[in-house]
Amino acid sequence: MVDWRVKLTDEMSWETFSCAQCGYCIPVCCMYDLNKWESSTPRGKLFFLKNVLKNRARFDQNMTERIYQCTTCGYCHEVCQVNIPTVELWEEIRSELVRLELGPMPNHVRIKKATQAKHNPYNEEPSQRGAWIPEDINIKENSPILYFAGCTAAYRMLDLAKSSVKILNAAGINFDFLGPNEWCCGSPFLRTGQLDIAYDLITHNISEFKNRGTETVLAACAGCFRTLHIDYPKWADSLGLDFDVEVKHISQYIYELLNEGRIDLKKNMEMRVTYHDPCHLGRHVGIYEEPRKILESIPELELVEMENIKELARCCGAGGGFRAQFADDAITLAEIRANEAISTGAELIASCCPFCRLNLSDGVKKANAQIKVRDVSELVLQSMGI
Amino acid sequence: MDVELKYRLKEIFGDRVRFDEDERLLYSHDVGMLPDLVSVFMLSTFPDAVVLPENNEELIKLVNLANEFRMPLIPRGSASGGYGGALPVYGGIVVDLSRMGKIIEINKDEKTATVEPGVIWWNLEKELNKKGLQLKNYPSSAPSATVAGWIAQGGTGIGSLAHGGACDVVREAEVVTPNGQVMTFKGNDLDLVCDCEGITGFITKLKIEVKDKEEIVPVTVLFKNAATLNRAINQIVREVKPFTIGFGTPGFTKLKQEATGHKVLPEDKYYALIAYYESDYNNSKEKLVDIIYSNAGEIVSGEISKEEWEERFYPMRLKRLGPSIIPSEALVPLERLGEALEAIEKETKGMYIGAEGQVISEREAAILAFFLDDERSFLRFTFGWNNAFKIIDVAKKFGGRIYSTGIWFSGESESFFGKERYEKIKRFKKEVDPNDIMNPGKIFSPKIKTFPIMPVSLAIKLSKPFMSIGSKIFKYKRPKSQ
Repeated sequence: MVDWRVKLTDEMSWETFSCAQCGYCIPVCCMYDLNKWESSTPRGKLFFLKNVLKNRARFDQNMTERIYQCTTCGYCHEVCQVNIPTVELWEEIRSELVRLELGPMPNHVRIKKATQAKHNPYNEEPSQRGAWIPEDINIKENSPILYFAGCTAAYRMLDLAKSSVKILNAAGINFDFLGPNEWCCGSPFLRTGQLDIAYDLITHNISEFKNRGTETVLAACAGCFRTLHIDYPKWADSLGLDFDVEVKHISQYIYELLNEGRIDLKKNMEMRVTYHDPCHLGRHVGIYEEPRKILESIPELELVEMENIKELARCCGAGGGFRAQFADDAITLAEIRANEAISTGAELIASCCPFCRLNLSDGVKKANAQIKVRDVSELVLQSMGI
Repeated sequence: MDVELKYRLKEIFGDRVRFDEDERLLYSHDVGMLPDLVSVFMLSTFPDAVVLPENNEELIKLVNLANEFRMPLIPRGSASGGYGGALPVYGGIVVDLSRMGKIIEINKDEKTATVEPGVIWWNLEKELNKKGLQLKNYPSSAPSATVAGWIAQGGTGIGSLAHGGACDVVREAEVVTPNGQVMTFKGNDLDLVCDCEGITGFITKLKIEVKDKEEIVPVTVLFKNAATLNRAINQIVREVKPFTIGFGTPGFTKLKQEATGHKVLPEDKYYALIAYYESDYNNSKEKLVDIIYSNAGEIVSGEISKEEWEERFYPMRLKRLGPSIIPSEALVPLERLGEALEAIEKETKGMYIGAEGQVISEREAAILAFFLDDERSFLRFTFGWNNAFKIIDVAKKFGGRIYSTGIWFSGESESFFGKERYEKIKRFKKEVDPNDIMNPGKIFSPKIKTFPIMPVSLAIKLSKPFMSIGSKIFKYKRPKSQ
């Protein structure tokens, strides 16, 4: 029989009780834009959770759904009076809801099944994971630098993946790629509380890095980057695995190449561009400047900022398993962000995450707007004249 | 709740009404965390339903329905206050006005902003800034407090020293009254709306005064004791009055810095955060420095002052040490601020307490004290509320008074408003709300549920000796912080 009581670690229980109920998290929460009910807000969820911990309330399907109606963007943490690590808390609650068989949401179960079978949530063939690699690009096996494309770039945002490796190639960087042996990084499952499969994926990828002698992983996707950078070391530590790997986002690496003079941005790109901070790259890891500096290095490109940027950037709406289950709402959030970008007068939204790019593109379509959405790496490649 | 009433609410609000227990639970609290004993014996703050209206027409239908079914209506903004103004005390329908959140007009020539009730103060400030304007004053909870919420609750905030309290910047208020009329209040008639906690109707539109935008220059000054802080503040207010002055005790600095792990101020000194409009600062600088030095004050670096200024909305950071807090607020005459702070320190020796506050006028300062506590300990947390009374009692010894009425101090409403205004509100309430549907139990003290002839104010008074004894037996011990 399942024990219905939610059990949190002492640390997260303390965090829950420390909520000041001030409501600063409410106006910044993108869920609140969709739905003004208190149960959609971080404060509402924390108050409910506090009552659950006092045995005065109990999660049902409705409140479980509310817990999953969150992109785990982390904006609430930025404005919190008492500095509650909300992303970690939401993730811990979700894993508890999975243990209690209340979570995850149906589509999260579907992506888990797909990943169990094919190592990616899109249910695509593993043999096709490297099908996007251009013919003139050489993968150098066992090179200390490894390019980690991630599922979205490998199967859905191929131009982004192609751009990244073409830049590396042009800069004379030898790099490895796992091909069919690159499994989902585990992010969708860590975010939705499905830790069992996350364990398998993380263990596999760490073992591949070790076998190949990988020293540096370059992640194309902000979600993969966050997972490899923050979650992998914690998991490796708790599982006793060796993970002596430096993890960089491709934008950080491109910026290094630019500074070393290994990339020449020569082609003028006369356009107004605004930059969308992916939550996993920005708020979660603190990388705000490199993508902006890259864009500013492109001749004739004018970078214009949106009203809400960096730590206070609005989420595109895709992350935390939200798009997987609540696609229409996720695209509505992308539309709101796209409209913010449009109001700057920009012709193009640049970002550093295939998932943001995918969702923002859908948001632009929903808004019937003309603004383009591209990855920073695509703009770099264009300016390199390749 | 009556099935017919539910059905008719559904007709008006569609999916913007909720009756389920989970949602109602989330509308049963404000920023304060009440001890369980209150809900067991005194008041249940659980609503029967929650609605999210979008316009006056819906509110008019709602008040008509509430009159028909004798159902209380409780207006709610962000529930960022702690006086219980947005809490039901006899059940009823919580009316969350956050969907009525449009900025209707910003008039640069007239220097006014006309807004719907659910607009958040700090969002309004950002929009005003884009047009070269700024707010005259705002609550210290401006990142979440709504315009109508602060004005209905009343009180003071940042900028009150220069521009007065919440209600002093209101030019006009449109209200849907409990008898279903839409009325506009101006001038002295605003007495019937401002500070009235929604008992006379739903505020649906407000025109407030704003001003031309000017940079703010914050200056943080350290004082070795409350007496020098007091002397300096009084002299500054008299001779070089700034936009606002905040202050804090050594205990407040210590707990806040422990909670954040960010140590920038010495923990054995009182501080004052004095903020000027840039032009005023340039004119007052010399005199200000003279006053500070003549009171042995120490000016901290400009960077730290800016940091402290950015922190003005974050007084509750220390809560994570508790993990709960018991807050208490009172007004004291400005000339006796130092004595009151010293007395609080003496009275609460050995306790985990931090006190901060604002100078709210040339005559008064508001002190806000936070006692660390732990709501997970039933008895301890209940008796811990005795500390809240302690601060008010100390303030009163020095000629002070309560900050606001809400539920808990409704017994003092008459002295709070003054007899004339109190009677004026009472007459108007009777006229427009004969069935007492609008936020009952506020301003006019509610009765306790276990003995419905006893007002809460009397129950609180009678419980004080027991609370005092209990608080001596069940003392808060700091749990091992995570």
